[in-house]
This record gives sequence, C-alpha cells and structure tokens, in this order.
Amino acid sequence: MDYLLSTENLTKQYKNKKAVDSVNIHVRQGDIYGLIGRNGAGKTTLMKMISGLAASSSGSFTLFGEEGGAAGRIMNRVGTLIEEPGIYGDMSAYGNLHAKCIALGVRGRDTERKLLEIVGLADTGKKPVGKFSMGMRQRLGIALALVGDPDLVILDEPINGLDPQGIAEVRAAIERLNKERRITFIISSHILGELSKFASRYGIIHNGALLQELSGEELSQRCSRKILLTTSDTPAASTVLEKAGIRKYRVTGKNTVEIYEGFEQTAEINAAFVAGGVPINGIAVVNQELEDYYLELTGGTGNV
Amino acid sequence: MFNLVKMNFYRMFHQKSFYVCLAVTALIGWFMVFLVWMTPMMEEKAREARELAAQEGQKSATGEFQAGFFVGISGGTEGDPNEEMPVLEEFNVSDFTYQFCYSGFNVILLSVGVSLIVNSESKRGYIKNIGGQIRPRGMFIAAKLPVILFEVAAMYAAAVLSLALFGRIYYNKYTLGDVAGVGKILLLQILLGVAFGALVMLLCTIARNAAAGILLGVAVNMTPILYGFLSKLAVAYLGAPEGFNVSMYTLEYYLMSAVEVPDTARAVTVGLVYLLLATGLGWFIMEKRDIV
Repeated sequence: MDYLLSTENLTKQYKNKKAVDSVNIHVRQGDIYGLIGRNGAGKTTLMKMISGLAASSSGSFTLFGEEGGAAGRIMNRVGTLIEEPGIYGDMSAYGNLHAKCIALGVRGRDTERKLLEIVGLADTGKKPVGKFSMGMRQRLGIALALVGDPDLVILDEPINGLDPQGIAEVRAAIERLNKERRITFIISSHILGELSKFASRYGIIHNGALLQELSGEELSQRCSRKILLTTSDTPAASTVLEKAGIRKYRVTGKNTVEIYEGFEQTAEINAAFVAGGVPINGIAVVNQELEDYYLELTGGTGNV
Repeated sequence: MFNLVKMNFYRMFHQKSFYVCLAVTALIGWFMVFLVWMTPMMEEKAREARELAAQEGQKSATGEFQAGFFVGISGGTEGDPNEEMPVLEEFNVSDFTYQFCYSGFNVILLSVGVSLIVNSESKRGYIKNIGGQIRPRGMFIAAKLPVILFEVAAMYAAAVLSLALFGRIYYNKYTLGDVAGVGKILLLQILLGVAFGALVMLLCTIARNAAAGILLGVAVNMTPILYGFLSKLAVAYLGAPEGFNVSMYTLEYYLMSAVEVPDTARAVTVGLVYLLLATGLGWFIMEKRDIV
C-alpha cells in the first residue's frame, strides 16, 4: 500500500539514550493519525524528525513517495505546530500569520483572515498575541501550521491548555479540514479521550519505541464497550450470533467471544445461546477507555 | 531567500526593540552634544568652587567636578586644575560623528540591536513554524544580512541626525564639516558594522541566546588591554617584528578607530573576511543543528 508518510526504523539517539528507537509508522492520505504516548515517550522528537526540524540518527522516512533529500525538498507541503506555538508577542495574530505567509511566498488574498476564521480568532484585531490566553495561542499555532495549504499537518499537543469549548472548536476545525480539503493530520495528545473522538488511526509510542499501530476501528474494538462471552464452544456461539443477526463480534480466544453490538439485548442473546444449546460460562458487558487500554499496553499507571 | 529577507524586514519593522535601539542611539547623540556644551559651565562652577574653597581655606573639590564630563571634543582633563577649558565656539557635525565612532557606544549599540533582531526568531520559537519548510536551512542566516545592513545604517543615521539636530539647538555657530570625509568613514563603519553584526549573529546562533551577542559588544570594549598583552607576548616569544599589533587583524579595532585607519583597504579586507567567515560558519551550524 502507498502511504503518504512511512518511516523505516527511524531513530534519534542523544549520547547514550535513544529518544526514538527504530520506529515504523504508516500514515495514509486523509488519515487523522493520533500519536499516543506519555511525556518523554518520544512523540515530539519523532514529529520533529518527520517535519524536518531534527535530523535522524539512523533510519529513514518516505514522504509523498520521496525519500531522503528529495523528501526534505518537499517539506513545504508539511505544516507543523511543535510544542508551544512560536509566536511574536508584540505582533497581532494577523501579523504573525502574515510573516509566515511572506516567508513561504503565500500570496493569496485574505489568506490570513480565512485562517483566523478557521481557528476562531477572526475578531482579535490588532490585539498583541502576548495578551492572548493559552488557548488562543494554541489556536494561532494551528493557523500558522495551516499557512500555505499543506497536505500534511503535524500538531504536537494542539489541544493543550484549551477549555472544553476550545477543544471542541479545534476538533471541529481539524475534522472539517480533513474532510473538505483532504488534509492529513498527525496529532499527538495525552488527552486520549479527546483524541479518540476524531483520530482514524493510532500509533502508541512508549520509551521511544512504537508498541502498536492500529486503526480507529481496531482500537474501538479493543477499547470500547463490548459484551464479553465465555464459552467452551465458540463455533456454536458464532452460529447463534449469526442467526440472531449480530455481525459485529470477534472470537478472541479459545473460550472467548467479544460482541460489539446489541448491548441492550443481553438477556435475549443469553436466551438464544441457551436455546441453541451453547454452554455459557459467563456473559458481561465490559467498558474500557482508551486510557485504560494504553496503560494496560504500556504496563504502567503514570502520566499518559 | 528573497521571501525570507522580506519576512525579516516585516518582522523588524514590527519589533519594538528596533525602534528602542534607534531611540537610544539618538539619545546618546544628544548626550554627547549636551555634555560638551555643558562642560565649560561645569568648569566655571568648578573654578568658582575652587576660589571659594581657597578663600575659606578649605581643600579644593576639583576632581569631583571634572570626572566623567569629557567626551573628547574639548580636550583632556589632566594638567593644571586652574587652567581654563577651551570652549567649543563652533559645532562641527563631522567631528562629533568621528567621536561617536570612537566612543565604543557604536559597538555596544550594534551588539544589542543586532542581537535582539537576529535572535528573536529562535527566542520566540517562531523558527519552529518555518524551520522545516525552508531549505536549505542556512538561508535563515544569509537572509538576515540585509536586515543587519539596514539596522546598522539606520543606527548610524540616527546618531548623525541626532548630533546634527542637537548641535543646531545648542550652538549658534554650526558647520557640517568635512562631509565627504565623514561619508567615507561612515561607509566603512557600516561595512565593519555589518561584519560585526554577522559575528554577533554567529554567537547568538551558537548560544541560541541574545545575551551572547550583547556580551560580545561589552567585551570588545575591553580588548585593547588584552591585545596589547598578546602583542607583547608575540614579540617576546614568537619572534613577531617589533611594533607588531594583534589589533590590526581584529574587527573591533577598525570599527572603533576607523577615523585613524591609515590603510582603508586593510580595514575593508578585515571586514569582509569576518563577514564571510561568520556567515559561512553560521550557515553551517544552522544546517547541521536541530531546531529546538
């Protein structure tokens, strides 16, 4: 499969410590790729490497089908917001955007105003950015990343410091840009609940290594609400489920079946199993949040 | 490259520090004129104080009045304390411009002004917004040279205009002096100033900090002592010819004494060498180092 971005054993080593260790991520055109990891897991370093801000110690990445130096030359198609937004405090939001438009040679009329509208800062006028709240700065950082109509936008903790309304606005803006302009996003966040609302693909990174890469569907199957059935006859259980019209289920072990629909019909499902002569050892509705899944995967309870 | 230059100009014109530096330069111009204008009056007061003290049989307080009020136009401060200070009859803009170039203020102002402009991109983190998209990254260094040139020229212009304006205000007799001569010196000063700016930019790039560049401005005012010592060492132990002077190969020597430079060609060469070396090294560092 052709990927918009793929890395091959991408590594960043600082003296004796590997901040990023042989990471292979795969991002498709149109993805909203959520990069999940604790503070210090290596998310920012990885993002810096693929946005051209830092050199890799070893490994490589392919961007828009180009590798190495050729990939470096098309970095103008990549917008970035890494860590805190870099802004001039004594200039207005418009001024900050205009400076980047000049640097990239963006000459469209009203580009700055349109970007400010997208991130909800259109009414800030000449107010110096130094007087902006954290959330407003963050939104300006996103607008800066969007200058030049990039095809890939890399956002490092974009919803940091935003209030619930700000988070919802940013989420809506990202989803809109993703759908309308087909912009691909790579977004890191430690607010996993929020990320899970709009990401379509995930990479879980821990201690510099990529633990797992999975689609939104796969993740929701592993994390979301499910009916956990324990039986000694999984083939018979599958037949009963098919007959009952339940399609979203998966046999996950020798004795376990996970069902992802029909949460309100557990009594009926149970009755169908009994009627079908399927031996049931246990049936329960299980809820697992993304945070729980992440912690289970990384084997810790620290700061996500 | 051209876009980066335009962005740098846009940013500089929207940065308060640029205007503050120009205002401080103009203020120093005023201060120089004011001190020279005030010196005879202070001398008069000092003389009166001495006379009064002599009448009352007390000790003279001469030193207290003389300290720190001479910028060089009126002559030295040593000798007979009762000697009359020469009064400046006619204000000469060219002479005062030379004095500004001698004063060392120019170097300090340049280092502060340039440091604040060239480092703001890194300090504010703005470079992270564009650092990945601009290739080769060394262009960030080269694109700042036109801005440094403009700032250096603007600072000298502010100084000269301030000297001319306040000279006009404080003195009845007024002349522009040797305009062609001072123009030539100013051109040389601007070239050397840009080279010094490139050096400041290099230090700011290496240290990722404006303080390093500002420190350079302060430090070069103290280098004559160091260079004198090094020159003596070179003559005594390295077989350098008698009269060898390390300063002749340093940028700040020409920057702070361009008026007296006998060999303009050497001054230009030193300036260009520093400019190219600092820019080249800055470019190399920018290319090789990660943006943080």
